Amino acid sequence: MSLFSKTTTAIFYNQHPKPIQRMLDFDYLCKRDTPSISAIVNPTNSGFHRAFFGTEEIIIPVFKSLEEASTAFPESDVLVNFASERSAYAVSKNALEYCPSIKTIHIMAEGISENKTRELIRIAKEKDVLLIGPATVGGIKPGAFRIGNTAGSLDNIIAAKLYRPGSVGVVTISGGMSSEIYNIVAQNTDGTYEGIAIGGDRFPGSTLFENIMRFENDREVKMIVALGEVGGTAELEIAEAVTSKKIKKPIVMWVTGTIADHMKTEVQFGHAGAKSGVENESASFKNAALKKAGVHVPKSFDTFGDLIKEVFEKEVLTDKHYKAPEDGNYNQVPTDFSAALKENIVRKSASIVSSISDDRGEEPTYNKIPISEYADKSIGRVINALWFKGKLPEVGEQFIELGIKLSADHGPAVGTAHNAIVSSRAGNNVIMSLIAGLTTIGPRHGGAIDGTALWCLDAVERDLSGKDVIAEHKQAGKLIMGIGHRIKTVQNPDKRVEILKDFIATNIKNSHYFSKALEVETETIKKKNNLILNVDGAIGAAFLDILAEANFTTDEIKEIVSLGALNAIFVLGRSIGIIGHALDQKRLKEPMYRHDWDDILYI
Amino acid sequence: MAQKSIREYHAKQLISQNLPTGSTTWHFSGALVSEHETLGEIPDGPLIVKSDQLFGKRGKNGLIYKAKDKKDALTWIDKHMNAKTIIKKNENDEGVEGILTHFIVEPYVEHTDEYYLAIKTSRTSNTVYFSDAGGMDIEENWEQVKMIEVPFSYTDEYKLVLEKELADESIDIRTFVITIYELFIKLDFAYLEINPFAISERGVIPLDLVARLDSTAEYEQEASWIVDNIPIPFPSPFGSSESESEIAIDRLDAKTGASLKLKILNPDGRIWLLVAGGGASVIFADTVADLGFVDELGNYGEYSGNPSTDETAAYCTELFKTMFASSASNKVLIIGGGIANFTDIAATFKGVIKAIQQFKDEFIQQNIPIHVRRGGPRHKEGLAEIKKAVEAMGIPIDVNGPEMHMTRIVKNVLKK
Repeated sequence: MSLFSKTTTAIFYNQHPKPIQRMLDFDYLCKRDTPSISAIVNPTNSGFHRAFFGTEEIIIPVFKSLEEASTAFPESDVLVNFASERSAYAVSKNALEYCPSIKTIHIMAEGISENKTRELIRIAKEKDVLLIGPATVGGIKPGAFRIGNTAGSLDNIIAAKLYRPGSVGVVTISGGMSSEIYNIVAQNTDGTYEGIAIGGDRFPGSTLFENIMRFENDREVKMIVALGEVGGTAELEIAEAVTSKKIKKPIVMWVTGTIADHMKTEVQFGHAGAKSGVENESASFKNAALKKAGVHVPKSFDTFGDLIKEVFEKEVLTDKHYKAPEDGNYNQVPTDFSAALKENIVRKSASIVSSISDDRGEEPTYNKIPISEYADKSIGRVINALWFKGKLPEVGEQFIELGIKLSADHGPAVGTAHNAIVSSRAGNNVIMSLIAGLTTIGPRHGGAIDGTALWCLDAVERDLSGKDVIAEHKQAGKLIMGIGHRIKTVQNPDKRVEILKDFIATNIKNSHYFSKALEVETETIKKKNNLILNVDGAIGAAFLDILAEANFTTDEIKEIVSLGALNAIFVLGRSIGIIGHALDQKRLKEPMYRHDWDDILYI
Repeated sequence: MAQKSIREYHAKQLISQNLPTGSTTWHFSGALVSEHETLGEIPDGPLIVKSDQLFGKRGKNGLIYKAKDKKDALTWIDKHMNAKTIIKKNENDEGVEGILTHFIVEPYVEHTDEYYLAIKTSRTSNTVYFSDAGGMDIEENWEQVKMIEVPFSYTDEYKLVLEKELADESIDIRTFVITIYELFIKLDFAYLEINPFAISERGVIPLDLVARLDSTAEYEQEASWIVDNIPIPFPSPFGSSESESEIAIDRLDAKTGASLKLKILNPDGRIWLLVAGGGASVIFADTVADLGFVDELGNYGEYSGNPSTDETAAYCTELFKTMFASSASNKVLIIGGGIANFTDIAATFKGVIKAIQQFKDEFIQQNIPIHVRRGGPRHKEGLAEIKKAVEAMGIPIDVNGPEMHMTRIVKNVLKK
C-alpha cells in the first residue's frame, strides 16, 4: 500500500512558512481538491497560519501541542516533523505514544543520537508506524502528496513529471540526491510512483529494504530504482531477498562510495552512515553482491540512467498488462510576488516611500550611514540625519542638544508633567503616561517655538521693525508668541535665555532673526518688565539664524518650520521629563490621583 | 556526523569519571603524553606505555613498552615521539605510514587471567561479546567468545539478559560487564572493545580499550563528553596527516551550520572536484574512479547545507590553492552537483564566481578549463551568471543544467 493518496493530510510540526507553502503549492500544482496540511503545531503559539492554495489565501489552524492537533484532525495520518535536533526525538516519541491516528512520521532533523533513533524504531515497530528519517528531506507521492521540501522547486517537479504518478518505486538514502534521481527516472521511464529518501544516519527509521518491500507489495509499482551508500549492510539484505525471490520485481540499484576502495585511511563521507573502511560494507562489495543476486547494477553511476531505461523497456513495457500513465496536466502555480520581483518580471508602485533610513542591508543606516558609525557621535548628529537629512552644520547639532537639555522638564505643575503624573498614578505604563503628557503640548504650551519662528520670519522678510510687529499683533488681537514669563523679569533674567543668547553671539555672525526677536522684546519690556523673550521664543528665533547661516534659503527655512521640526525639539526634549515623572510616581507608589473638590468651582 | 573514534586515554577517562559511586571497577590514573602534554601526577613505578592514535595491533607493531619507572617511560617516548612509522594490520598488509604523536601511560598491572569484552550496535540490539580468553590472540580464540544479543531499549531489560547469560561468571565480572553496558548507553558510545580486562587488587581493570562515540549525540552529550576540562577531541585516523587547506576547511566547517569537507587524495592530481551535496560529491568522485582515472583525482570534497556566499568563496579559495600547487599538467576543474532541493543556486554560485575572480590569473596561466553541471532553485540564473562572468575573465567554461545526466560531465571531460 502506498503511504499517501490525493486525500492524505498531514500535521506539520513547527510553523515554518516556506516548506508549508511548498507543500500547498505542490497540492495545487497536481490539482488536489484540498490542501495536504490540516494543522500546524507550534509549541509557543496557537491560532491560525495564513498561506496560499493557488491564488486563494487560506488559514490553517495552529495548535500548541501535537496531541491537540491530532485529536482535532484524526483523519490526518502523517506527521511532517520539522522540529529541531533538540526536540525532534520527543515530538516523534509523543506522536508514537499518544497520537494513534498518525501512521507515518517524517523526521527532518539531523543529529538525533543513534540510541534515540533506535528507541523510536523499537516503538514504531510495536505500533506499526513507518518512520522516514531522521536527517532527510522526506518523500513524495507524485500527483498526491509531498513532504516538506522534497523534490525542490516547482520547475524541478514539473521537469521530473512529479505532478502525476508513474510506475517506478524510488528509494534513496540521500535526500540531497533524491531530486536528481526523480529527474533520471523521469527521463528514462514513465516516472516515479512514490519516492522516499530514508536519510543518511547509521540507523534510518525505515530502511531501503523495508521501503523496497512496500513497493514489492504494491501492485501499482512495476519496477524499483534504489540508491545505496558505502557503510552498513542494509543493501546485502536486499540482495538476499532477491536471491530468495522475496523480491520479484525488477530492481535497478547502485551503491555509491566506490571511491572509498582507493583510500588508504578511513574517510567519513557526507552522511553519518557512510563510512569507508569495512570490507563487506564497501560499495563495490555491495554492488557485486547485488549484481550476483540478480539486481540490475550499472558499471558506474554514469550509466545508471541508461540501465534504468533498458530495464524499463525490457521488463515493464513488454508486460501485456502494462498501461502507460495518463500524462495529465497540472495547474500553473502563481508566482510569489517576492520571487517574481527577484526575477524582474513584475513591478508595483510602492505604498510607502522613505528617504531617511534603510534596514535592508547588513546593518540599518540613518541617512545612508551605518548606525554603528553614530555610536561615538552626539545625539544631535542622529537627529540631524533623521530630521534634516544631515544638512545641518555641526553647530546646528549642538544647538538642538542645547534645546533638548533646556526644555526637558519645567517642573510637575506644567501640563505635560501633570498629565503624565495623573496617568501614571492611574496605573498606566510609561508609554501611556508619555502619550498623556504629550497631548497637552499645543499652541499655548510649547508651541511658542514654531509661533516665534513664524513671526520672526515674517518680520525679517517684510523688514518690519519691532514696533511694527507689536502693532500688527495688536491689530489682529493676537498675543506675540515667545514673549512673556510668569516669574522672570528684565531685572531677574532667565538664565536659560542668557545661555542661548551667548550661544548665538559665539556661533552666528549675522543673527537677523534673533536680533529681530530682541528688537521686539525691547519694545515689550517698556510696557511690562516680565514681557521678556522666553526660552521657547529664544529657541525658535535662534534656530532660524542657524539655518540661515548654513545657507538654507528662506523658502527652505519656511518649509522646515511648517513641517513642525522646530516644535519637535521641544516635544523630544520634554519627553525626557514626562518619562521622568511617570517613573517617579511609580517609584513613590502614589495612589490614584483625584482632584480636590475644594479646587473645583461647581456652578 | 557519524561514529567517531576517540583515543584510548579519553575513553578510559570518560568511563572512569562516570562510574557509579562504590563501583569495584578501577579508578583510571593514566596520562596522555604528546608534544604539548607531559606525564603529570602519575605515581612512579612500573608503567605501561602505548601509542594512542586510533590504530590497533600495537603489540605486534612494537608500540607497547613496559617501563621500569617514569624516567624510563619518558626516555622511550622521547625516542618514538615524531617518528615516522608504518603500521600494518597483518603481515601481508602494505601498511599505513604516519607520525607518532600521542602516547598513553598507565601504571603496570600485575595480573594472570585476561578477559574480553566488546559491545557493538545494530538496528534493534546491542551485541555483547564476552570471553575469559582475552588478549592478543583473541581472533585465534574467537570460538570461545560468547555472543549475547541484548534487544535495544531504554528500559532495564538488559540487566535480566546479561545476568542470565553471565550467570556462570564471578559477581565482579558480571557487575563490570553490566556497568560498562550501562555507560555504553548512557554516554552514547557507538563501539567499545576492551581487550583485555583483568582482575587485580585495584578492582576490575580495562587494560586495552578501543572506543567510538556516536557523534550524532554530540549536542546531547555536550556536558558529559568532557575530559581534562575540554570536549573530547576526535582525531583523524593515523596516517591521514592533514594539509593546510584541509585544516582550514575543518575549521571553517566547525564554525558554520553548513557542511564543508575537503580531503586531498593526490596533491599532484589533475582532476579537481568542487561538488555540492553529500550524496552527489561521493558520486562524482566514484565516477572518476569508476572510469579509471582515480590516480589523477586530486580531491574529494563537498559543500552543502546552504553555505553563505562568503563561506562558499572561502571553501573555493582553499580548494583552488591546492589545485594551483599541483604539478600535474592539463588540470581541469569540475563544478558539479545534483538537482538541489532548496539551495539557491544563483546565490551559491556568486561565492564561486567571487573565488574564481580572485584567482583569475592563475586559471589563465595554468590554462585550467572549468566544467559545470548543476540544477535546483534558480539554476538557470546561476548557470547563466557563472558562464558570463567566467567567460569575461577569459577562462574556458562549459555549463550544463539538469538536462544533462549528472556525471556525464565527468565522462565528457575525461574521455576527451
